[in-house]
Amino acid sequence: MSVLSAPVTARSRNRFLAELARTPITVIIAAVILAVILLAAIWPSLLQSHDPFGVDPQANLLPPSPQHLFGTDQSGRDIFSRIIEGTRQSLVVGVGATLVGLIIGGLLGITAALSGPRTDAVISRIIEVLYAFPSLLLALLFIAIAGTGVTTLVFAVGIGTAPGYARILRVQTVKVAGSGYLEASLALGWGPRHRLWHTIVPNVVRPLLILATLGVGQAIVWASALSFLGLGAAPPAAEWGTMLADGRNFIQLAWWIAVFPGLAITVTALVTTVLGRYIQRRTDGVTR
Amino acid sequence: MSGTVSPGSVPEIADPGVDAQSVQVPAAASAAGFSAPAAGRGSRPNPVWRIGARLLGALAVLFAVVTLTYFALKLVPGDPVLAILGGGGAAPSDATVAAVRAQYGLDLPVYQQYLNYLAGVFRGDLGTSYIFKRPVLEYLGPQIWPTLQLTLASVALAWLISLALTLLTVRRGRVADAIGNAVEVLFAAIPPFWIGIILLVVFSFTLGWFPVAGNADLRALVLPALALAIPLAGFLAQVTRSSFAEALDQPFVLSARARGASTTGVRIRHALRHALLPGLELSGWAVGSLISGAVVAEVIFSRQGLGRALVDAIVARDTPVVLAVVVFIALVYVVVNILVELLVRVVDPRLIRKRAAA
Repeated sequence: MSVLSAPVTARSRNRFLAELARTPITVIIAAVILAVILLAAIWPSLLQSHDPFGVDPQANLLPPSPQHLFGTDQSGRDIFSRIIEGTRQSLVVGVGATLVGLIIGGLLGITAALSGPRTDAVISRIIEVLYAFPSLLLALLFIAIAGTGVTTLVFAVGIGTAPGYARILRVQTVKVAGSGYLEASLALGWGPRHRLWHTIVPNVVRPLLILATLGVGQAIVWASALSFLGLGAAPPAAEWGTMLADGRNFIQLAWWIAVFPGLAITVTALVTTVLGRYIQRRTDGVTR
Repeated sequence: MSGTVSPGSVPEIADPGVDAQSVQVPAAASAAGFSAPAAGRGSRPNPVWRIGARLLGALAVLFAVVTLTYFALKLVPGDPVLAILGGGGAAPSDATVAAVRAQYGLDLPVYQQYLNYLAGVFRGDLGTSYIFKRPVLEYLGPQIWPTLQLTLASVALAWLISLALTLLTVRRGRVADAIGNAVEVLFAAIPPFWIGIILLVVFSFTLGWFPVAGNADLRALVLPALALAIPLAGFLAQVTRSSFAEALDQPFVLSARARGASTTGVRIRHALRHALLPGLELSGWAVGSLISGAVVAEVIFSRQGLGRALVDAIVARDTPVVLAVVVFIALVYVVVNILVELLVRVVDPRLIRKRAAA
């Protein structure tokens, strides 16, 4: 993401351009698409061609055309505009769920890594038991208890992914705490603050950033799967998974109702994966 | 207990999409010249002792899963008796409520109910469905095989796709490599419910090659299995392709070539073994997550199965059924992971020898 946030001074502009020239074209495309997705989330009306909730019985089940880019649904609503409308919710759910997962996973994993061997063993066993539940199952179990709805959805997906994060973060913390560079910085007599900011944070934050980037896309997929099953956002909402489930009843008549919301989910997941893996490769070069 | 990462090893940051499964390449660990004894597996060389300990550990995990799920489901709001009697609208008399409460043992203290449930599990009695008023096992029994069938077919297909991707695209020139990369990332990002719908539109409605719904025959299995296999193949290929490329860089490839082995021979007989390992370890996770992910394919293709039974039970608040499905999936997950661990030893005999030498 350094591509987007580079300050514009003459020297750094040159460096920015040099950097850009070295960036793979797929990563640049992914960054541009992500920018469009973010724009759609922040300012949907800028991109919408129609009212996403405007019912028009005269124009129902129209195939994709210049007037209706992605066609219309059974109530004559413009699917493209509805997908744009649903972007914010899908992103909020994805980011929210990733945060919930990282916080719960981080609390478990980091506590285990930093406490004594006995506490570590206990928490590790808890993580292992939770890990015996596949993510979707854990999410479904949470929904069984808490009921359906968007807030529950965020927590369900977050809790579903938490055990995986807990495992990774525990190992990562152990690795950093036992690392040679931490020992070296102690030996060099650096203060705790310097150690925190110059050795621990860079080695913990970067993997976290990668996890979060890769995680958001997957969280969006999980969340839309649950909405698709009727366990997430309720039908009138322009949520991607809900739209897809809605369109499933009409696939024989109008494939576009289900296919385009799914495309939005896939593209979002793809973009975050490409960017996440790029950051991963870049940081691999730095840390090894 | 999933047996993929020993506590002494340091896995890499993996894609959380694959459930943050840290994939450990045993070859890399042994390259360091030592392997830390894995806690919980014991360091004694006797394999019987080790397998016994492993089984005990698996049983402990299962017990914890049952207990955790049991008490978690006690948190479901609302009186279960009302769910049994058909929801709040049924307005049953107090006498009926009391009778049903006693019939389902819901008048007992919670710990007593829990102990009764555990005792039942050992007798093969998983309680009575609140909605269908039949023994849970009798209701779920016919759903098990369709889901297992779907899961196994998906894993097999995913392996086929990822091995094809690995053998055809790794070190076959820049274009092939780029295609392999693109396909693996694309596949991994595709949600199964979306690819399922596309397969349905293309192959059932347009081409008419496969039936639209049901689980009548093997033909009906193809599309749902493919829908689940494609995203899984993406994850598998990420792992197999990178470890295959790593294996091709190893000195043994050069020495095999020097002994006169053909390129293809080296790829298949020597390098592939290395590429299989991390993928195999991932498969344990994959089966567990597929069996719950099957719900999506089951809904799209109107198939019978555990996943659909689970979602229906969640919506209807049929707690005994939810509990049984969760426990069954955890059981499969644990069993498959033990099998995978054994299989890994078959593929990588170094692990056995090392253990014996320790």
